[in-house]
Amino acid sequence: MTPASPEAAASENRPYKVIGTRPIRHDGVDKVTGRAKYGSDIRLTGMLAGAIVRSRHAHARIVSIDTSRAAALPGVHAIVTGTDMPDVSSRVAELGEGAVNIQHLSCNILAQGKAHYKGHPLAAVAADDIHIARQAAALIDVQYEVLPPVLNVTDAMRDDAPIILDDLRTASLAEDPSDRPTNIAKHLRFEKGDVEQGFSQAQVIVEREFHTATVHQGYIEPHTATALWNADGQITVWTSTQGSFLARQQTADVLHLPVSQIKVIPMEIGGGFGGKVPIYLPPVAALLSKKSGRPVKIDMNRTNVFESTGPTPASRIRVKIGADEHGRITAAEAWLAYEAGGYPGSPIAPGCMCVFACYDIPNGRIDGYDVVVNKPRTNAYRAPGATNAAFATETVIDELCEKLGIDPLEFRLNNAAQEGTRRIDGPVYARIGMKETVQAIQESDHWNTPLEGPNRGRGVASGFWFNAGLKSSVTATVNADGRVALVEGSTDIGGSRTGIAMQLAETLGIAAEDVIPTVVDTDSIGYTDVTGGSRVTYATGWAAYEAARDIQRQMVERAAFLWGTDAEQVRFEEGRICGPDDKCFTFQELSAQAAETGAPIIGRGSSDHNQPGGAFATHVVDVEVDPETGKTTILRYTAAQDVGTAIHPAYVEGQVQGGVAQGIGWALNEEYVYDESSNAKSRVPRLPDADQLRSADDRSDPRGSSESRSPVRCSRRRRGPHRASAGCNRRRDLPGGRHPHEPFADVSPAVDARNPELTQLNQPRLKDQHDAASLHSRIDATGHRWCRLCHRYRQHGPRSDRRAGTAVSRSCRSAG
Amino acid sequence: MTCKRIVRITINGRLEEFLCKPRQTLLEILRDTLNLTGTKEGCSNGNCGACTVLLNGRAVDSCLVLAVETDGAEIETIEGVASADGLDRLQSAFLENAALQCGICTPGFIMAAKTLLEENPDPTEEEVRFHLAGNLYRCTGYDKIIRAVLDAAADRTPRQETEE
Amino acid sequence: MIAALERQYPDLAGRLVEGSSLKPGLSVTVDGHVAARGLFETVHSDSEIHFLPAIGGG
Repeated sequence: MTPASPEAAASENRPYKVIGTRPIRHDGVDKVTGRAKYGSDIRLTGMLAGAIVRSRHAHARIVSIDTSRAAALPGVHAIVTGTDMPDVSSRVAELGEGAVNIQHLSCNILAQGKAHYKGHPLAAVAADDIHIARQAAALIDVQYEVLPPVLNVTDAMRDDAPIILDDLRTASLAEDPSDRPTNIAKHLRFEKGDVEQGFSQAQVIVEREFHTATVHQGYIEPHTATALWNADGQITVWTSTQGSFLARQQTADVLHLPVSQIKVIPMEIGGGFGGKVPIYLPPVAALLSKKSGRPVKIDMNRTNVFESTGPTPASRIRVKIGADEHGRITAAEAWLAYEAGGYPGSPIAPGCMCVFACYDIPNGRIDGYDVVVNKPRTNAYRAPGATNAAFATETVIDELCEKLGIDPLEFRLNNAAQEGTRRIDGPVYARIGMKETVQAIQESDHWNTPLEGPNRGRGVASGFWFNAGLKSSVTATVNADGRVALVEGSTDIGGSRTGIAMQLAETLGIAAEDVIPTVVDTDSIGYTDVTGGSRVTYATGWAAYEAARDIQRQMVERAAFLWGTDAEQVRFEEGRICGPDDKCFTFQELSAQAAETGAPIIGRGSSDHNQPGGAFATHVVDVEVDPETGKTTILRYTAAQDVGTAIHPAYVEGQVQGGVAQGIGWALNEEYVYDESSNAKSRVPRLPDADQLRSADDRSDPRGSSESRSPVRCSRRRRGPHRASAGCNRRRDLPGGRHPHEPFADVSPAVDARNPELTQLNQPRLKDQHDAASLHSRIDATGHRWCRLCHRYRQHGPRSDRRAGTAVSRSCRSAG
Repeated sequence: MTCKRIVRITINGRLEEFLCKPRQTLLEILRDTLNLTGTKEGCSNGNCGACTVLLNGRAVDSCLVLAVETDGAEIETIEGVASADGLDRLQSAFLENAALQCGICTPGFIMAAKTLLEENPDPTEEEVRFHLAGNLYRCTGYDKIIRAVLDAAADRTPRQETEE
Repeated sequence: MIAALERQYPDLAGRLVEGSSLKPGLSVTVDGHVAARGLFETVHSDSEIHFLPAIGGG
């Protein structure tokens, strides 16, 4: 008898046959051969190329936009500006993962009256090819009234700060609405117990302030969208997105159209990490298509992505924690202000809810502020909001441990949240794995190996993130050869279609290879929420489980019909359908017969369960810091993650490793560095940086904390607060002590204080090494220059013909 | 108005001829003119390596190569790696080691790794790391890629010894 | 239940609901799990209910 739910299945302690194995992913061959089609790979007859004009100023009123010269350029077919966007009243839509103000979304897609950040889209052109489109974009003349920008929360929250959104008022449940113009979009407060009394009981109190930098998700594939506004009014959008239904809904809302007038076809997606949940391009491409009568493709480039799409917010955080002489936390307080960017909507809420989520806090108060600044509108980046918060908390905890003389893991164990702990924001935990992750580190070889050598430190940190449930839909068709075509709507960022196929296969008792998963468009499957929030393996997996059970019911009925017996006499058991008198069909046998004996067998499943487990993790890292340059080398890294049951262990490992790499990048070298013009740059870790990671014991610990965890509750939230905090905490043993800023590489006041002449010395970065061709390249016999680091051509063309910054041969130059 | 030039190349073993303007990069021609979209555009300034192809046997960022300068050259792209007999060992090693998540950087990595194994059939881990330093991988921490390349190398080396 | 809260704390309902739905940006948990049906979720006399900010993922 098939269990009624995945949890029931798990509790039967039946060994899995498919779950926990490592099949080759179904889309793998296409991806290693270059056949897989990503967003920008779409080719349509008559397709035009689009280019976008973006604001040169971080804060400016748009006085006028003159498109006449662009329109006169041969090859230009359409131009749109913010005035072409339909009027949408200040409506807020509930779009599955948090609320979105449609007016703000519309203005973020194409500015209407005001530019809120450098890179803010102002106009768009469609032309015969990308070169003409860019040429035309350069001919669009924008007149600005430049306004003073605000580039951090401190400045933005001042009473006399320049106001970015004239009609913004602070939303708060606690206070009466104020009519004062402000940059503070929201104030959250959570309270539990009596914080003042709690602190009065503390023997040691540590209060520190932290600043974290803007960091981009850094997906390799830039945003792209192609749209066709057909003559019948139907719009088709091809795009790389984390949520095709969300893209459809947002496009419909912004264009003020019924949702069924739009079909979104999700292409393969080259990374997202939260950054490809919102839309930027589809409405613009659609409007250009409407005006030109042709399909229009718009690709962002890397600069557009960094300047104009949502990074994760920079923040200012104050954390105060008090503990008694036994190391028990008596009170905790946090003040967090997150940059929302040009429009409200930073992840301040999850930041507040996660900041103390790992611990049992008897008395707590958390204040959170969502603050608009003149930067691109921020968006989710893996455990959005939690990373900043945990960096602060874990650093303070570390200092508390030092002052109390308590081992940092013991402290965490003594104060760990567990089943029955009430979070400061209210909910009580069911069974969770915080303690188990701490114990895993305690028992690890890494923790029990002494760290020796100068300038070395060891840091440890814990972290938490939610898992979402939300809605998913799946259909599954049994083919005559016994294989099952699985159709689902969760765009696949990292192998999820295989994980979902494995859950269907397990339930049906067939091989994972006998399931053919396909991710389809919004007209071909029921509503499915975004691929994000660690929800897909859980929620779409559950829908697949339901579809498999539906197939089982139909197979049982079909077998009963063939045997002339009642369905109650027939049972589905591990891929076989068995009835009275030892009669049995294999799944394949009955599939073949079913094709001849009745309607097609099609399973349908949907889920809107919201009971996934939250994910805890504890990490430990050993680092060595060069006291002269500040360069940090990671010597060893161990991650203990509570994942529940790993459906496909290889991809669980990949998620952990990826999260660690991103966390290290955040801690050590990724940031937006702004000048007064709001120009920014950023850097992500490369292979030689990750050399330090490889030598670490980055074993993920997939043992679930609880046997009752549903097999579908596989947390894939790998990144998170712990890495950054662990990296920070390692500094406590080193010259200069702890560091209140992320990333650490560029800001080292302790080093600077000792060696002021080194203030301008930055650790040479691999990117810089590549760019500084004169340092690291050599010129070969043909006059070509190539980088000795990666043996890659950096420039090209005979040296004698080379102009600075280009490599156009003499013959081409003379041809113009 | 700039005239287009005729350029002749051998691509994945096949003679090919195309017209292009001097400002067009090899990446643009591959993707838009020759419809070989397996080579990806990530940054357009030589940072990410997603556009890696082989130009006369050397790995290049095709976004930094002008198409007009490839006249007479031999170019290999990801589309030419597998054969009618199946996947190259590198490709299957990537799959077996789960060395891709979103997969956008995978063609670039495979092309770069291909040149490594041709120059150095038995690389150390450090050599693999530094040879692939020109390719960015954002989804996972590089470890599985290293393992895949080392696995592919391990499978190739005995074969080469036999052939010798 | 919200009506009862409104009687004890006037003006509270207006901060929690909009028409017949939860206000956008809010979610509600009932007995430990997020109520997928929002205001239509069944509650019992001893249910524990929390109104929380809706959160997104990455």
